[in-house]
Formats: sequence, C-alpha cells, structure tokens
Amino acid sequence: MTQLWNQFIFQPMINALLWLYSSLGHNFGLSIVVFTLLVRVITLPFTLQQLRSAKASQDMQPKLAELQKKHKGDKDKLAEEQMKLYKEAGINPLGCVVPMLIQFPVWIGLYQSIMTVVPNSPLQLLNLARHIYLTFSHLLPLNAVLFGINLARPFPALAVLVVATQWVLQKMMTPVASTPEQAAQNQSMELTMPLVFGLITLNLASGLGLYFLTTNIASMVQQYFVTGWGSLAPMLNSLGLRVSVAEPKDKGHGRKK
Amino acid sequence: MNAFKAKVVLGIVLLVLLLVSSGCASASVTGSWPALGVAGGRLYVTTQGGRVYALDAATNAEVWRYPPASEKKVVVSYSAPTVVDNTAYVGAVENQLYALDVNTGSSRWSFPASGRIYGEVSVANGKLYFGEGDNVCALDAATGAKQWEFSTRAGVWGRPFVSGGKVYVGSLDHRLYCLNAESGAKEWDFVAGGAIAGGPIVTADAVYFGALDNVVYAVDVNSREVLWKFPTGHWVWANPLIVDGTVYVGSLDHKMYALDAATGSKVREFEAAGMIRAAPAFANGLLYVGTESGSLQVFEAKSGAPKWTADAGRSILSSPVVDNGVVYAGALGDAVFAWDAETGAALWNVNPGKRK
Repeated sequence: MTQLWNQFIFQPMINALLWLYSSLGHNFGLSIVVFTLLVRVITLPFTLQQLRSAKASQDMQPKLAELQKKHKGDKDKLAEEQMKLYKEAGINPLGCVVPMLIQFPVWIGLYQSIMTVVPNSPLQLLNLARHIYLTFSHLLPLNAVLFGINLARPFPALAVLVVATQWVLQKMMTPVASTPEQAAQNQSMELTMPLVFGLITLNLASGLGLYFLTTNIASMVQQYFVTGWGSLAPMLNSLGLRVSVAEPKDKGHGRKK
Repeated sequence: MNAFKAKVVLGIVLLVLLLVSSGCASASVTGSWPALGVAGGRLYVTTQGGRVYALDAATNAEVWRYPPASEKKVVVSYSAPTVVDNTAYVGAVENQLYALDVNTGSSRWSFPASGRIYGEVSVANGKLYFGEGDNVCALDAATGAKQWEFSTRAGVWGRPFVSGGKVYVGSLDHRLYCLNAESGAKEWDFVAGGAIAGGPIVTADAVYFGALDNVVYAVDVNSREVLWKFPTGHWVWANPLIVDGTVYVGSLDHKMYALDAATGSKVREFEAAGMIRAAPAFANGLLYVGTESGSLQVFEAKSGAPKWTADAGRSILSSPVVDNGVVYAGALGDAVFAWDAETGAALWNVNPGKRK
C-alpha cells in the first residue's frame, strides 16, 4: 500500500513541486502557493460538491429535528423517514463525505511533499532520494527563503496569520446559530480548529504554514461563493459593512437533477 | 441507500484510510543513524538514542557512556567519533562539538557551534576541522578555542580532508572549497553539477568527490581542472576510498564502483542489495559495504567476487569499521553488529541504548 501511495500520489506531487520551483525562478514560497492553488483547482468539483451537500444538509436540519421529535423511540421508523426526506430532497446523506475522502489523500500528499522537498537532516535527504526524479537533483538544496523567512524552519508570525484565516474560515463555514446550545457548540469549534492549526504551524516548517495560509484563503473564496459569509455575517454587519446573511447564489445544493 | 452502495462507500473509506496511513508513515523521518569509530580495542558508537558509548570491541561490554545515565541531556549524532590522543571528538545535531576523555568518558570541553554538525571531524596539526551549519570551522584540538570560520552558501555535511596545509571540503551549495588550513582563507573553489553531501579524498595531485548530480569528480588540485568525471545511476553521497590507485565509491544506484584514479575509467563494479550511502571499509584485500537494505556485503577488491553477506535487518547507512580481524557495523535503530572479517561468522550484536 505504501508503494501504491508513493508511486501514484506522493512522488508525482513532490516532483511537480520541484518542476514548479524550477519554472518559477527558484522561488520555493511561490511554488508552494501556486502548487496549492493548482491542486485546489483540480479538486474544485469535489470541493463544490462537498460544500453544496453540506449546505443542503444544514438547510434540512429543521425538518430532521421535526422527524426526530415525531418518531422519538422508534429508531427504524426515524431512519426510514429520514431516508425518505433525503430522497425527496434529492440529497445523498454521504454527499459531503465522499468528496472529502477523495480530497483527503491529496491534502496529505501535498503536506508530505512540502515537508520532504526541504530536507533538514541527512535522513530526510535520504528519504527524498527515494522519491525524487533524478532530472530534478541539480535543484537541491532548494532556496527556501522567502522575504527573509526560512520556510524550512518555524516562523511564529505565520502561525498568527494561519490562526486568523482559519478562524475566519471556520466562522464562514458555520451557519448562524438558531439556539444558544448551537451557538456554544459553534464557538468551541471556531476556537479549537484555528488553535490546532496555529500550534502545528508554530512547531513545523513554515512552508507548511504558507500552505495552510494559501489553502485557508482559497477555501474562504470558495466558501463565500457557495454559502456566503455564514456566521461571519452578523459580525461584519455590526462593523457597518452591511453584508447578506444568506449565500450570494444558491445553486444546486447537491440535489440530483 | 442500498446495501451495495453502503459497501462501496465503506470500501472507499477503508482504502483512503490505508493510503493516508501509508503516506503518513513514509513522511515521518526523524532521528539519526548510528556511526562507529574504533581505536585501541574499543568501539565508539554514536546513537540515535542520544548517547555516545565506548564498548570493549571484543566482548561488547560497556566501558562508559556520555552523557552518563543520570543525565537527561542528549547527544544525537550522525557522525563517527574521531579518536586522536586519548580524546574522542563527536559532533552533535544539537549544535555542539564534544571532546571526550576516552578513558573516563568525561567531557574535556565542548564547543557551541553555530549550526548542526552532521559530518565527522578531521584532526591535523593540533586543529580540528568540521562543518557546522553552512560553515567550516577550525578549533584548537587541545582547548576547543575557535581558530577560524568560513561561510559557504548551504550546509556542510561531509568530513573535511586536510592535506598539504589545505582543507578540502564540499558543501550543499554545489561547491568544493579549498581553504588555507591556518587562516581559513579561500584558495579556490570548484562548482559541481549538484550538491556535495559527502567528503572528498585528496592525493598529491587530485581531489576526488561525489555529488548529488550522480557524478564522481576528480579535480587537479594545482590547475583546478577536471581530470575526469564518472556518471553513475543515482546520487553519490559516500566518501570515496582510494586503494592502490583505484577509487572505490558507492552510489545510491545500488552499486559500488572501482575506478582508475588516473583516468576515471571503470575497472569493475559491485552489485549491492540497496543504496550505498557511506564509504566502504577496506582490509586485507576485502571491501566491506553497508547498504540501505540492511545487508553488509563483502567483496574481493581485486576480482569483484562476493565473499560473504550478512544481514543486519535494518539499513546500514554509516561506514563499517574493521579492526583486529573483526568488522563492525551499526544499523538504524542503534543495533551494533560484529562479524568475523574473513568468514562473516556472527560474533555478537548489541543495542547499547537498550542496556541499563
């Protein structure tokens, strides 16, 4: 299985990153940004499907809650009615899981590639030797300095940016809470995720932080066009920015045609 | 959703989880490899576990360890200890160079380096020469006082070679530098086609080294012209070894090459079971080659005929050492093996870090 992973995901990604590095004036930071955006474009259909399915499921929550109330204590009936509801709405309940699962290996491969192409020790260099296409060997070691930041080392300021963008993204992904319990639950997620990513960035190579930052910004753009500002809308409104709570364009919602 | 669809989704989930776990496993590369030095009947071992051990070479009994068991401090090193005048010099990843008393294992002095030390230390004319981060550094061997420092543009991972008042050292910045051994001033440099991760070897006329552009180079030390280049099938990271006018050098292409030192023509090649990262050891006409696949392969240098092979179970990434009819090798995970150098009969193996 490791061989399969290396041959079809990890190695092509490492070498694509190296090719970008050689094509973009030996700028590793720019290569990470372009590489991340390219991968996001390639996986865009899956991402959109995932976002729309998630949005459609969120929209159905009131109806599902009604069913839960109605068939309390009868699990079989509840499941049957829920499936009926999904079918009527043309929604696959796993519609947001499968696209995410397909993208997950790509993200892991991307993360691995960034960590591998800037070896910090002889063992890491030996690991790179196993995966590099030899035509790119002359590029080593990569120039990992961007605006004075060594992307092979941690850079605390980047962690702050990652936390901030992750928090904004998390806010956008969360629908406006309708109950105090939901609001409390949302708040805990909105804090936990940014802190986790911030801690990772603080401790690992800042190239990975640049990848998080790029992917967060790309996700924010995608999220805006599919679901709008989410829980961020009331906050922006309170700042006098007058944004709509609803999504800008409600297309499809993952319904089968 | 029908049962078939559920099974398909479950199958996809399991496949993805398997792929991801494989990916994560191959990404985690930490630690170091153990490296060995032998002198005066003792085997000196640096370990991934963070200590330096002195073992009785015959019995593997521990003589001392540094830091002592009572200390939490660690000394993670990739480089073999260099033993000169009852002192073992060990460079560590934690930006430190230690001078250890070989009799007691106590520290005579330590030097705070400006970067990680990955390569071995060379000793000549009362001075130590080694790479620290992107620099080459010279210290007084007796006191550890800094003599000079020379900056390159990338990491210096190989052992410097001192000859005729000059220090020859490779850098990951693709350059081989020739420095004045007394002052550290640059005499000249040579630009290779790839990073130089190993150390060079120097004769009266030429300097030989490998690079990550898959090439073995021979450069005239006087005219600085390339005498010859020999292409291999993968990176050349190992230090070359010269015996009787023949350059022996391993490549990550699973081969050890024997090249004519004067012309660079291939005399013969030796097929190994895996990547060759380190220099071979040579004794009594035999070449001892450690491989990434975990085997120690022994060849007759003159004929290329395989003599014997032993399996350490895990990658041998540092050079084996031969002393008093015994060959020693360290494998990833810190296991140290001793075999009869002539027959390959296993004598002992020990993981010094696992002993209390």
